[in-house]
Amino acid sequence: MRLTAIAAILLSAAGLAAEDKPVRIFMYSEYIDPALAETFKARTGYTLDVQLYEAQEEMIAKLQTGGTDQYDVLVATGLLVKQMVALKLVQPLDQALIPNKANVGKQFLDTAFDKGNTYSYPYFWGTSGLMYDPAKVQGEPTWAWVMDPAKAPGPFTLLDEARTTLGSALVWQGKSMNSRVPAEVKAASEAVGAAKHSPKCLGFAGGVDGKNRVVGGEAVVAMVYNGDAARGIADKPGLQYAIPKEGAEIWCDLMLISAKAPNKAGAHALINFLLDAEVAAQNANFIQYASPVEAAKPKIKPELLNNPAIYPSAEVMKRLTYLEDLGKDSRMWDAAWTSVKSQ
Amino acid sequence: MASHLVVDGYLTTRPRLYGRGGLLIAGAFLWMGLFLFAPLGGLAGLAFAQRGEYGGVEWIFSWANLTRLAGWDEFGFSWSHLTILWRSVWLATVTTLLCLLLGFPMAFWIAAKRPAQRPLLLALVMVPSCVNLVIRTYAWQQFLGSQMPAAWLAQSLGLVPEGAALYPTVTAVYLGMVSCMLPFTVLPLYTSVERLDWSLVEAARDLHAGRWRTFRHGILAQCMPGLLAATILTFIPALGMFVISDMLGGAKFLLVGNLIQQQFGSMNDWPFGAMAGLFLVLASLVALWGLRIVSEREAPHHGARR
Repeated sequence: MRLTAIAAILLSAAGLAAEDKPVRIFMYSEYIDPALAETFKARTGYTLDVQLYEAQEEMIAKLQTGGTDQYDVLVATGLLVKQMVALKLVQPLDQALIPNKANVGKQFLDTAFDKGNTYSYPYFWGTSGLMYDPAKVQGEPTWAWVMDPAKAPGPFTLLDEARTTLGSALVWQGKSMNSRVPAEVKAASEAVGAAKHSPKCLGFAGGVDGKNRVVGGEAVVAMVYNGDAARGIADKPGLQYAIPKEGAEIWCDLMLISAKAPNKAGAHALINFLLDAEVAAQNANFIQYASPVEAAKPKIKPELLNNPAIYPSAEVMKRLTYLEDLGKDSRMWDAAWTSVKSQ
Repeated sequence: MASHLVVDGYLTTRPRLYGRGGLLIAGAFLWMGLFLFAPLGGLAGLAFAQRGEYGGVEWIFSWANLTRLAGWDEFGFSWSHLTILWRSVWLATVTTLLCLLLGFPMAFWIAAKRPAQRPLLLALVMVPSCVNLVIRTYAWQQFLGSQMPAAWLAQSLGLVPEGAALYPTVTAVYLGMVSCMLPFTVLPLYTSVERLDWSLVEAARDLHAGRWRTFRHGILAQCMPGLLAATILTFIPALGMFVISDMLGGAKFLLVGNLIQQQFGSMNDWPFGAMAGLFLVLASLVALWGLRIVSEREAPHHGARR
């Protein structure tokens, strides 16, 4: 206890002394409100330096090849945390320096991918589900629309993501999205393979591409991420996004501290800053993804808060599952995905 | 004592001669060593290592990646990987043939123009390559979209259903592939065609050779070096290409390029990716070797002396 207190004093002293030391955050582009840099500087004295990656694999590759001393805060999806810890790319957090963790909603703390939040706190979260043209479908949204060619209401696209697409097929078949049973995964891959060969299938696409095809009227339904859907619905208001009745994936992007972060104190200050209620609300209003910071909700625009594509109802939340790192079983999933895409 | 030699009119010694030669090739040697052989060696080493439980590499020697590439995976034997490899070779072969069929007449056409016009026409062949491949492929997507004239035409002819786009289809993939690779076919063909010795063609005619024999022995034999270069420059890049098939083919079918990308990307299995990459390099070398055998058999002997 005393050590932590001394450390805190020393760190805050260092913070005052080294005023212009930048805090480097490594994330997707357009994933933070640029206006927050000034607020951060005013509150902590640190300069915010945003470094961008295009794909999370690119981030891991950069860190693995000795980049851990280039960044302070890393934004990565929950699925990657176990791997990042195993590869020694991140370091445990000093919990005393992040008092704003109290602002985070309970369901986003102590999750399966980081028990006790030793390494991470949540940044934004979302889902993957179905975006569709309500005029051309019937009944409750179901994965059958894209997994069962006989029940597909029209042309559709699947997500070009092994875990999400096979996982959704598993959920549709009443199995776990994180199944480690080869027979179940194989059955899911056969379902996706059959869907692929349907003349209604327009192929595997990224979230943006799938959204564009529904907006353009070429597809009736597409598997997309909720952020893409929200943008698509803004372009063409009649469209809808829903979590299928069987359930779907929930993902959460986390903030972690790089193993050799050059500015450890600044990294903690930044995580704490982004968990501040007002800051998180401003950021959420800008990015338009769902914020896990519960205390920010009163300041988030009502049109975002009441949009079920962004903040699903409590009832829908119960049907969402996080993807888990499958360790050695990921090779089995790889084989299943390869067989879907090779035949 | 070193014996003296006279080379190119200069008195020198053997060690000095070797020293000078060594210095001259040192640059290329270093370049090849650092940027070709060292990475290739690394790739070969990685190909026989293993993926750690959470990604990363465990340096334990194993044949597992090789048997896996051959088809033995977690579900027993499957044709998946062999199908992918075969599909990649097939796509590259058909693309190369289509490019040659289109490129050969194009090279003749350009070579037949007035000398002042030729550079402009060659530049026009090259201009599309100045635009990034992904952007060009996006342009094809737009062009083949459901609201565009090409799709309207196909819809009104009843070739595709009402409101459908012309991609993802196999035709769209070949369209993208050929338009991307054609410059690499035309340029080497053109250099061959331009230097064609027409007196040999006349000689063939004078000796009462038919049209086919005149073409085969009078023209084609002379164009062989260009034809081989065009084949290599088209086939090998086409073998590793996957952006076009993903964007215009709906990413429904994997190619070897996808397989490699998937391992280094989302699957985080670098050793298996290295094995697939090694296979691609070896397949390219075998193709080159095969073409060399053909070229040695076919090469016009007068060409070497000219």
